[in-house]
Amino acid sequence: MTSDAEKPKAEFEKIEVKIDFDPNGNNKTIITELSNRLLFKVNDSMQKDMENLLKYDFDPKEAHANFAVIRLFDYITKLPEYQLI
Amino acid sequence: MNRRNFLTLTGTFTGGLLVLPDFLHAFGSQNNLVIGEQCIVFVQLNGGNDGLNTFIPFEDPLYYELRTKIALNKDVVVGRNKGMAFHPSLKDFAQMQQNGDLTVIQNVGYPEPIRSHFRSQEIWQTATDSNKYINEGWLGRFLDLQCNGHQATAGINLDSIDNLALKGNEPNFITVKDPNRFKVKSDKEENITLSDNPQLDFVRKIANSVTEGSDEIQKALAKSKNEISYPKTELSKNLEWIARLIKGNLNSKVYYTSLGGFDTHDNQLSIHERKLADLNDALFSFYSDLKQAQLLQNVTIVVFSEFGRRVKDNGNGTDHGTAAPMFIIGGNNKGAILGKNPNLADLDNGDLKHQIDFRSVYASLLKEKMSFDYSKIGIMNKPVSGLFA
Repeated sequence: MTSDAEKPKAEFEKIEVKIDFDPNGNNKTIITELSNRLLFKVNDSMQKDMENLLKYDFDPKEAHANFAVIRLFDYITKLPEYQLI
Repeated sequence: MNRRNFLTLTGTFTGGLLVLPDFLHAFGSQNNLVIGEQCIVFVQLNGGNDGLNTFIPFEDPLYYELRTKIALNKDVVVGRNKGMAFHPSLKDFAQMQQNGDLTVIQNVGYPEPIRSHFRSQEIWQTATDSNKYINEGWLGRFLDLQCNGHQATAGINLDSIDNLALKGNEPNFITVKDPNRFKVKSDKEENITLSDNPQLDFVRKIANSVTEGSDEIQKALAKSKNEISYPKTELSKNLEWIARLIKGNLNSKVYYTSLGGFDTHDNQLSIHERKLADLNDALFSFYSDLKQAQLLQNVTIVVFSEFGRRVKDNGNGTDHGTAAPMFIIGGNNKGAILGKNPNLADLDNGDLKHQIDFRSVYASLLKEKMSFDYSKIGIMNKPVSGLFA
Protein backbone atom coordinates (compact mmCIF):
# COMPACT_ATOMS: atom_id res chain seq x y z
CA MET A 1 0.00 0.00 0.00
CA THR A 2 1.39 3.39 -0.87
CA SER A 3 1.62 6.14 1.67
CA ASP A 4 -0.60 8.29 -0.50
CA ALA A 5 -3.47 5.92 -0.02
CA GLU A 6 -3.13 6.14 3.73
CA LYS A 7 -3.45 9.87 3.89
CA PRO A 8 -6.59 10.76 5.72
CA LYS A 9 -8.97 12.90 3.82
CA ALA A 10 -9.20 16.19 5.62
CA GLU A 11 -10.91 18.64 3.40
CA PHE A 12 -13.54 21.09 4.41
CA GLU A 13 -16.56 21.54 2.34
CA LYS A 14 -17.02 25.15 1.35
CA ILE A 15 -20.60 26.15 1.72
CA GLU A 16 -21.91 29.09 -0.17
CA VAL A 17 -23.53 31.30 2.41
CA LYS A 18 -26.50 33.27 1.22
CA ILE A 19 -28.47 36.03 2.79
CA ASP A 20 -31.77 37.50 1.88
CA PHE A 21 -31.90 41.23 1.27
CA ASP A 22 -33.72 43.64 -0.98
CA PRO A 23 -31.40 44.51 -3.89
CA ASN A 24 -33.59 47.45 -4.82
CA GLY A 25 -32.77 49.28 -1.61
CA ASN A 26 -29.66 51.13 -0.51
CA ASN A 27 -27.19 50.72 2.36
CA LYS A 28 -29.61 52.16 4.91
CA THR A 29 -32.60 50.10 3.87
CA ILE A 30 -30.51 46.93 4.00
CA ILE A 31 -29.14 47.86 7.43
CA THR A 32 -32.68 48.49 8.63
CA GLU A 33 -33.91 45.27 7.05
CA LEU A 34 -31.26 43.17 8.79
CA SER A 35 -31.46 45.03 12.11
CA ASN A 36 -35.22 44.60 12.25
CA ARG A 37 -34.84 40.93 11.61
CA LEU A 38 -31.94 40.23 13.94
CA LEU A 39 -31.51 42.86 16.61
CA PHE A 40 -33.76 43.85 19.46
CA LYS A 41 -32.20 47.28 19.82
CA VAL A 42 -30.02 49.53 17.68
CA ASN A 43 -28.07 52.43 19.14
CA ASP A 44 -26.21 55.26 17.42
CA SER A 45 -22.75 53.74 17.57
CA MET A 46 -24.01 50.45 16.14
CA GLN A 47 -25.76 52.32 13.37
CA LYS A 48 -22.52 54.21 12.64
CA ASP A 49 -20.49 51.00 12.55
CA MET A 50 -23.02 49.41 10.23
CA GLU A 51 -22.96 52.41 7.91
CA ASN A 52 -19.20 52.05 7.90
CA LEU A 53 -19.53 48.46 6.81
CA LEU A 54 -22.10 49.32 4.15
CA LYS A 55 -21.21 52.81 3.00
CA TYR A 56 -23.64 55.16 1.28
CA ASP A 57 -22.19 54.34 -2.11
CA PHE A 58 -22.57 50.58 -1.68
CA ASP A 59 -24.31 49.10 -4.70
CA PRO A 60 -26.69 46.28 -3.71
CA LYS A 61 -27.21 45.30 -7.34
CA GLU A 62 -23.57 44.43 -7.88
CA ALA A 63 -23.02 40.72 -8.49
CA HIS A 64 -21.01 40.26 -5.29
CA ALA A 65 -22.97 42.57 -3.03
CA ASN A 66 -23.90 39.56 -0.90
CA PHE A 67 -20.28 39.35 0.35
CA ALA A 68 -20.64 42.75 1.94
CA VAL A 69 -24.09 42.03 3.33
CA ILE A 70 -22.70 38.87 4.93
CA ARG A 71 -19.97 40.96 6.54
CA LEU A 72 -22.74 43.13 7.96
CA PHE A 73 -24.47 39.97 9.16
CA ASP A 74 -21.22 38.84 10.83
CA TYR A 75 -21.02 42.16 12.65
CA ILE A 76 -24.63 41.88 13.78
CA THR A 77 -24.23 38.34 15.10
CA LYS A 78 -21.41 39.50 17.32
CA LEU A 79 -23.50 42.15 19.03
CA PRO A 80 -25.02 41.47 22.42
CA GLU A 81 -28.27 42.74 20.93
CA TYR A 82 -28.32 39.89 18.42
CA GLN A 83 -31.43 37.80 18.89
CA LEU A 84 -30.65 34.13 18.90
CA ILE A 85 -34.30 33.27 19.14
CA MET B 1 -18.62 44.25 33.67
CA ASN B 2 -22.19 44.19 32.52
CA ARG B 3 -23.74 41.81 30.06
CA ARG B 4 -23.31 44.12 27.10
CA ASN B 5 -19.60 44.70 27.72
CA PHE B 6 -18.98 41.03 28.25
CA LEU B 7 -20.76 40.06 25.08
CA THR B 8 -19.15 42.83 23.09
CA LEU B 9 -15.76 41.54 24.13
CA THR B 10 -16.80 38.02 23.31
CA GLY B 11 -17.90 39.00 19.86
CA THR B 12 -14.83 41.10 19.24
CA PHE B 13 -12.39 38.44 20.27
CA THR B 14 -13.87 35.57 18.40
CA GLY B 15 -13.64 37.37 15.09
CA GLY B 16 -17.17 36.55 14.10
CA LEU B 17 -16.77 32.83 14.30
CA LEU B 18 -19.56 32.28 16.75
CA VAL B 19 -21.54 30.92 13.87
CA LEU B 20 -18.93 28.29 13.08
CA PRO B 21 -18.22 25.28 15.21
CA ASP B 22 -14.51 24.95 14.56
CA PHE B 23 -13.39 27.74 16.85
CA LEU B 24 -14.16 25.56 19.83
CA HIS B 25 -10.69 24.14 19.99
CA ALA B 26 -8.31 23.76 22.87
CA PHE B 27 -5.98 26.61 23.69
CA GLY B 28 -3.02 26.93 21.43
CA SER B 29 -0.84 23.90 21.31
CA GLN B 30 0.38 24.67 17.82
CA ASN B 31 3.76 26.09 16.97
CA ASN B 32 3.62 29.61 15.80
CA LEU B 33 5.25 30.09 12.47
CA VAL B 34 4.89 33.81 12.48
CA ILE B 35 7.87 34.94 14.46
CA GLY B 36 10.48 37.57 14.03
CA GLU B 37 10.72 41.22 14.64
CA GLN B 38 9.40 42.81 11.50
CA CYS B 39 5.90 44.19 11.48
CA ILE B 40 3.85 46.50 9.30
CA VAL B 41 1.51 49.19 10.59
CA PHE B 42 -1.21 50.38 8.20
CA VAL B 43 -2.87 53.74 8.58
CA GLN B 44 -5.82 53.97 6.23
CA LEU B 45 -7.11 57.47 5.46
CA ASN B 46 -10.83 57.01 4.91
CA GLY B 47 -12.81 59.14 2.51
CA GLY B 48 -10.26 59.60 -0.28
CA ASN B 49 -7.35 61.82 0.69
CA ASP B 50 -6.52 64.63 -1.72
CA GLY B 51 -3.00 63.66 -2.76
CA LEU B 52 -2.36 66.83 -4.72
CA ASN B 53 -2.85 68.98 -1.62
CA THR B 54 -0.90 66.54 0.54
CA PHE B 55 2.29 66.21 -1.48
CA ILE B 56 2.06 69.28 -3.64
CA PRO B 57 3.47 69.98 -7.13
CA PHE B 58 4.06 73.60 -6.11
CA GLU B 59 6.20 74.44 -9.12
CA ASP B 60 3.62 73.32 -11.67
CA PRO B 61 1.63 76.32 -12.95
CA LEU B 62 -1.21 73.94 -13.91
CA TYR B 63 -1.70 73.15 -10.23
CA TYR B 64 -2.59 76.78 -9.60
CA GLU B 65 -4.64 77.05 -12.79
CA LEU B 66 -6.78 74.03 -12.02
CA ARG B 67 -7.19 74.73 -8.34
CA THR B 68 -7.94 78.38 -8.20
CA LYS B 69 -9.73 78.22 -4.85
CA ILE B 70 -7.87 75.55 -2.93
CA ALA B 71 -4.27 75.56 -4.19
CA LEU B 72 -1.68 76.01 -1.48
CA ASN B 73 0.65 78.89 -1.95
CA LYS B 74 4.27 78.00 -2.68
CA ASP B 75 5.33 80.13 0.27
CA VAL B 76 3.59 77.91 2.79
CA VAL B 77 4.52 74.41 1.60
CA VAL B 78 7.29 72.61 3.49
CA GLY B 79 10.13 70.20 2.73
CA ARG B 80 10.64 71.19 -0.90
CA ASN B 81 12.22 68.51 -2.99
CA LYS B 82 12.38 68.40 -6.80
CA GLY B 83 9.26 70.41 -7.41
CA MET B 84 7.22 68.69 -4.72
CA ALA B 85 6.56 69.72 -1.12
CA PHE B 86 4.38 68.78 1.81
CA HIS B 87 1.23 70.48 3.05
CA PRO B 88 2.22 72.83 5.90
CA SER B 89 0.32 70.61 8.36
CA LEU B 90 2.74 67.81 7.48
CA LYS B 91 5.82 69.59 8.75
CA ASP B 92 7.00 66.50 10.58
CA PHE B 93 6.54 64.38 7.46
CA ALA B 94 9.08 66.74 5.90
CA GLN B 95 11.29 66.22 8.93
CA MET B 96 11.01 62.42 8.71
CA GLN B 97 11.88 62.62 5.05
CA GLN B 98 14.84 64.84 5.88
CA ASN B 99 15.95 62.19 8.37
CA GLY B 100 15.86 59.64 5.56
CA ASP B 101 13.01 57.69 7.17
CA LEU B 102 10.10 58.51 4.87
CA THR B 103 9.58 57.45 1.28
CA VAL B 104 6.88 58.95 -0.89
CA ILE B 105 5.53 56.72 -3.65
CA GLN B 106 3.84 58.98 -6.17
CA ASN B 107 0.78 58.34 -8.34
CA VAL B 108 -0.33 55.09 -6.76
CA GLY B 109 -3.58 53.62 -8.00
CA TYR B 110 -4.97 50.81 -10.14
CA PRO B 111 -6.36 50.32 -13.65
CA GLU B 112 -10.04 51.04 -14.28
CA PRO B 113 -10.36 53.08 -11.07
CA ILE B 114 -13.62 53.09 -9.14
CA ARG B 115 -14.83 56.23 -7.44
CA SER B 116 -17.08 54.59 -4.89
CA HIS B 117 -15.58 54.70 -1.37
CA PHE B 118 -17.12 51.37 -0.61
CA ARG B 119 -15.87 49.53 -3.64
CA SER B 120 -12.47 51.21 -3.84
CA GLN B 121 -11.71 50.35 -0.21
CA GLU B 122 -12.77 46.80 -0.98
CA ILE B 123 -10.32 46.73 -3.90
CA TRP B 124 -7.46 48.06 -1.76
CA GLN B 125 -8.29 45.64 1.02
CA THR B 126 -8.59 42.56 -1.15
CA ALA B 127 -5.86 43.51 -3.66
CA THR B 128 -7.97 42.46 -6.63
CA ASP B 129 -8.55 43.93 -10.06
CA SER B 130 -11.38 46.42 -10.06
CA ASN B 131 -13.69 43.91 -11.78
CA LYS B 132 -12.82 40.94 -9.55
CA TYR B 133 -14.20 40.00 -6.17
CA ILE B 134 -12.66 38.07 -3.30
CA ASN B 135 -14.23 37.62 0.08
CA GLU B 136 -10.91 37.43 1.95
CA GLY B 137 -8.55 40.33 2.45
CA TRP B 138 -4.97 40.35 1.18
CA LEU B 139 -3.50 40.36 4.68
CA GLY B 140 -5.95 37.68 5.76
CA ARG B 141 -4.80 35.45 2.89
CA PHE B 142 -1.18 36.16 3.80
CA LEU B 143 -1.74 35.29 7.46
CA ASP B 144 -3.68 32.13 6.52
CA LEU B 145 -0.58 30.88 4.77
CA GLN B 146 1.88 32.15 7.34
CA CYS B 147 0.24 30.89 10.49
CA ASN B 148 0.11 27.26 11.43
CA GLY B 149 -3.48 26.61 12.44
CA HIS B 150 -4.38 30.01 13.68
CA GLN B 151 -2.69 32.65 15.74
CA ALA B 152 -5.12 35.05 17.33
CA THR B 153 -2.73 37.97 17.55
CA ALA B 154 -1.02 37.70 14.17
CA GLY B 155 -2.94 40.79 13.15
CA ILE B 156 -4.28 43.55 15.38
CA ASN B 157 -6.98 45.85 14.10
CA LEU B 158 -7.70 48.93 16.18
CA ASP B 159 -11.17 49.90 15.07
CA SER B 160 -14.80 49.44 16.03
CA ILE B 161 -15.48 47.11 13.11
CA ASP B 162 -13.59 44.18 11.62
CA ASN B 163 -11.33 44.91 8.70
CA LEU B 164 -11.80 43.18 5.37
CA ALA B 165 -8.05 43.39 4.64
CA LEU B 166 -7.35 41.07 7.57
CA LYS B 167 -10.24 38.69 6.98
CA GLY B 168 -9.08 35.21 6.09
CA ASN B 169 -10.27 31.65 6.47
CA GLU B 170 -8.72 31.42 9.91
CA PRO B 171 -9.18 33.90 12.76
CA ASN B 172 -5.67 35.31 12.67
CA PHE B 173 -6.53 38.79 13.82
CA ILE B 174 -8.48 40.52 16.51
CA THR B 175 -10.31 43.77 16.42
CA VAL B 176 -9.72 45.85 19.48
CA LYS B 177 -11.61 49.01 20.30
CA ASP B 178 -9.42 49.76 23.28
CA PRO B 179 -6.66 47.38 24.42
CA ASN B 180 -7.22 48.64 27.97
CA ARG B 181 -10.26 46.45 28.00
CA PHE B 182 -8.29 43.25 27.61
CA LYS B 183 -8.56 41.28 30.80
CA VAL B 184 -6.10 38.82 32.15
CA LYS B 185 -7.52 35.40 32.80
CA SER B 186 -8.22 35.20 36.51
CA ASP B 187 -8.74 31.49 36.64
CA LYS B 188 -7.09 28.52 35.09
CA GLU B 189 -9.77 27.36 32.70
CA GLU B 190 -8.14 23.99 32.24
CA ASN B 191 -9.11 23.18 35.80
CA ILE B 192 -12.76 23.77 35.25
CA THR B 193 -14.50 20.43 35.12
CA LEU B 194 -17.20 19.99 32.58
CA SER B 195 -20.64 20.14 34.02
CA ASP B 196 -23.60 18.03 33.05
CA ASN B 197 -25.09 21.03 31.43
CA PRO B 198 -24.05 21.38 27.77
CA GLN B 199 -25.36 24.94 27.56
CA LEU B 200 -23.16 25.95 30.47
CA ASP B 201 -20.14 24.31 28.89
CA PHE B 202 -20.84 26.12 25.67
CA VAL B 203 -20.92 29.47 27.43
CA ARG B 204 -17.71 28.62 29.28
CA LYS B 205 -15.97 27.70 26.08
CA ILE B 206 -16.99 31.01 24.60
CA ALA B 207 -15.80 32.79 27.73
CA ASN B 208 -12.43 31.04 27.39
CA SER B 209 -12.13 31.99 23.79
CA VAL B 210 -12.68 35.60 24.83
CA THR B 211 -9.39 35.63 26.64
CA GLU B 212 -7.51 33.99 23.83
CA GLY B 213 -4.83 36.38 22.71
CA SER B 214 -5.30 38.58 25.71
CA ASP B 215 -2.50 36.86 27.62
CA GLU B 216 0.00 37.79 24.97
CA ILE B 217 -1.36 41.30 24.80
CA GLN B 218 -1.30 41.75 28.55
CA LYS B 219 2.26 40.49 28.70
CA ALA B 220 3.28 42.91 25.99
CA LEU B 221 1.56 45.79 27.76
CA ALA B 222 3.17 44.85 31.06
CA LYS B 223 6.60 44.83 29.48
CA SER B 224 6.29 48.29 27.97
CA LYS B 225 5.35 51.74 29.12
CA ASN B 226 4.43 55.09 27.63
CA GLU B 227 7.68 56.83 27.06
CA ILE B 228 6.63 59.93 25.21
CA SER B 229 3.50 61.95 25.33
CA TYR B 230 1.11 61.56 22.41
CA PRO B 231 -1.56 64.08 21.38
CA LYS B 232 -5.06 63.41 22.70
CA THR B 233 -6.64 62.19 19.49
CA GLU B 234 -8.11 58.85 18.57
CA LEU B 235 -5.46 58.03 15.99
CA SER B 236 -2.72 59.00 18.45
CA LYS B 237 -4.26 56.81 21.10
CA ASN B 238 -4.39 53.87 18.70
CA LEU B 239 -0.80 54.38 17.61
CA GLU B 240 0.31 54.77 21.21
CA TRP B 241 -1.23 51.37 21.98
CA ILE B 242 0.36 49.83 18.92
CA ALA B 243 3.73 51.21 20.05
CA ARG B 244 3.18 49.67 23.49
CA LEU B 245 2.45 46.29 21.92
CA ILE B 246 5.46 46.49 19.62
CA LYS B 247 7.78 47.60 22.43
CA GLY B 248 6.39 44.84 24.62
CA ASN B 249 7.37 42.35 21.95
CA LEU B 250 3.93 41.15 20.92
CA ASN B 251 4.43 38.86 18.01
CA SER B 252 1.98 40.52 15.63
CA LYS B 253 2.96 40.92 12.02
CA VAL B 254 0.33 43.41 11.03
CA TYR B 255 -1.36 46.31 12.79
CA TYR B 256 -4.16 48.24 11.17
CA THR B 257 -5.87 51.46 12.11
CA SER B 258 -7.59 54.29 10.30
CA LEU B 259 -8.40 57.97 10.29
CA GLY B 260 -11.63 59.21 8.73
CA GLY B 261 -12.82 62.56 7.43
CA PHE B 262 -10.91 62.93 4.17
CA ASP B 263 -13.97 63.21 1.95
CA THR B 264 -13.47 66.91 1.33
CA HIS B 265 -16.14 67.85 -1.20
CA ASP B 266 -16.63 71.15 0.54
CA ASN B 267 -14.69 73.48 2.81
CA GLN B 268 -11.56 71.53 1.96
CA LEU B 269 -8.87 73.98 3.05
CA SER B 270 -9.77 74.01 6.73
CA ILE B 271 -10.93 70.38 7.00
CA HIS B 272 -7.89 69.02 5.22
CA GLU B 273 -5.54 71.18 7.24
CA ARG B 274 -7.02 69.82 10.46
CA LYS B 275 -7.02 66.21 9.33
CA LEU B 276 -3.46 66.30 8.07
CA ALA B 277 -2.32 67.95 11.30
CA ASP B 278 -4.00 65.14 13.23
CA LEU B 279 -2.22 62.58 11.04
CA ASN B 280 1.10 64.39 11.27
CA ASP B 281 1.08 64.78 15.04
CA ALA B 282 -0.02 61.21 15.72
CA LEU B 283 2.44 59.66 13.30
CA PHE B 284 5.34 61.80 14.41
CA SER B 285 4.79 60.82 18.04
CA PHE B 286 4.62 57.18 16.99
CA TYR B 287 7.76 57.58 14.89
CA SER B 288 9.65 59.31 17.71
CA ASP B 289 8.53 56.67 20.18
CA LEU B 290 9.76 53.82 17.97
CA LYS B 291 12.93 55.64 17.10
CA GLN B 292 13.73 56.22 20.75
CA ALA B 293 13.11 52.54 21.44
CA GLN B 294 15.40 51.72 18.49
CA LEU B 295 12.64 49.78 16.82
CA LEU B 296 11.92 51.95 13.80
CA GLN B 297 13.99 49.76 11.50
CA ASN B 298 11.71 46.82 12.35
CA VAL B 299 8.43 48.66 11.90
CA THR B 300 7.18 49.72 8.48
CA ILE B 301 4.39 52.28 8.60
CA VAL B 302 2.20 52.51 5.50
CA VAL B 303 -0.14 55.48 4.95
CA PHE B 304 -2.68 55.28 2.13
CA SER B 305 -6.21 56.17 1.08
CA GLU B 306 -8.75 54.45 -1.19
CA PHE B 307 -8.36 57.10 -3.90
CA GLY B 308 -7.11 60.60 -4.50
CA ARG B 309 -9.30 63.42 -5.65
CA ARG B 310 -10.01 65.10 -8.97
CA VAL B 311 -7.37 67.51 -10.19
CA LYS B 312 -9.71 70.44 -10.70
CA ASP B 313 -11.44 71.81 -7.66
CA ASN B 314 -15.23 72.03 -7.49
CA GLY B 315 -15.19 75.49 -5.95
CA ASN B 316 -14.63 74.89 -2.30
CA GLY B 317 -13.42 71.30 -2.36
CA THR B 318 -12.65 68.35 -4.58
CA ASP B 319 -14.57 65.32 -5.80
CA HIS B 320 -13.53 61.67 -5.94
CA GLY B 321 -10.53 61.02 -8.14
CA THR B 322 -7.90 58.39 -8.77
CA ALA B 323 -4.17 58.17 -8.09
CA ALA B 324 -2.50 59.61 -5.00
CA PRO B 325 0.77 59.29 -3.11
CA MET B 326 1.45 56.62 -0.51
CA PHE B 327 3.85 57.17 2.37
CA ILE B 328 6.18 54.59 3.84
CA ILE B 329 7.84 55.43 7.15
CA GLY B 330 10.53 53.37 8.89
CA GLY B 331 11.28 49.71 8.19
CA ASN B 332 14.63 50.68 6.75
CA ASN B 333 13.13 52.38 3.72
CA LYS B 334 15.43 54.46 1.57
CA GLY B 335 13.81 57.82 2.29
CA ALA B 336 13.32 58.47 -1.40
CA ILE B 337 10.66 59.97 -3.62
CA LEU B 338 9.65 57.24 -6.04
CA GLY B 339 7.78 57.76 -9.27
CA LYS B 340 7.43 60.83 -11.41
CA ASN B 341 5.78 64.00 -10.21
CA PRO B 342 2.05 64.07 -11.04
CA ASN B 343 1.52 65.02 -14.67
CA LEU B 344 -1.27 67.56 -14.64
CA ALA B 345 -1.07 68.05 -18.40
CA ASP B 346 -1.87 64.43 -19.22
CA LEU B 347 -5.10 63.55 -17.46
CA ASP B 348 -7.64 60.83 -17.97
CA ASN B 349 -10.95 62.63 -18.11
CA GLY B 350 -9.75 65.14 -15.52
CA ASP B 351 -8.09 62.57 -13.29
CA LEU B 352 -4.47 61.66 -12.67
CA LYS B 353 -3.23 58.54 -14.42
CA HIS B 354 -1.78 56.08 -11.98
CA GLN B 355 1.84 55.13 -12.46
CA ILE B 356 2.44 52.58 -9.73
CA ASP B 357 -0.09 49.88 -8.90
CA PHE B 358 -0.84 49.66 -5.16
CA ARG B 359 -0.33 45.89 -5.42
CA SER B 360 3.29 46.52 -6.41
CA VAL B 361 3.69 48.25 -3.07
CA TYR B 362 2.00 45.31 -1.32
CA ALA B 363 4.34 42.95 -3.21
CA SER B 364 7.37 44.90 -1.95
CA LEU B 365 6.11 44.85 1.61
CA LEU B 366 5.44 41.12 1.55
CA LYS B 367 8.65 40.22 -0.20
CA GLU B 368 11.07 42.49 1.58
CA LYS B 369 9.54 42.85 5.02
CA MET B 370 7.74 39.53 5.46
CA SER B 371 9.98 37.34 3.23
CA PHE B 372 6.80 36.06 1.63
CA ASP B 373 6.13 35.07 -1.95
CA TYR B 374 3.36 37.53 -2.84
CA SER B 375 2.23 35.45 -5.82
CA LYS B 376 0.85 32.90 -3.36
CA ILE B 377 -1.94 35.29 -2.50
CA GLY B 378 -2.58 36.16 -6.12
CA ILE B 379 -0.56 39.36 -6.45
CA MET B 380 1.00 39.35 -9.90
CA ASN B 381 2.42 42.86 -9.94
CA LYS B 382 6.15 43.36 -9.71
CA PRO B 383 7.41 44.85 -6.44
CA VAL B 384 8.33 48.52 -6.42
CA SER B 385 12.07 48.76 -6.62
CA GLY B 386 14.15 51.13 -4.54
CA LEU B 387 11.79 51.16 -1.60
CA PHE B 388 13.84 49.42 1.07
CA ALA B 389 17.56 49.39 1.76
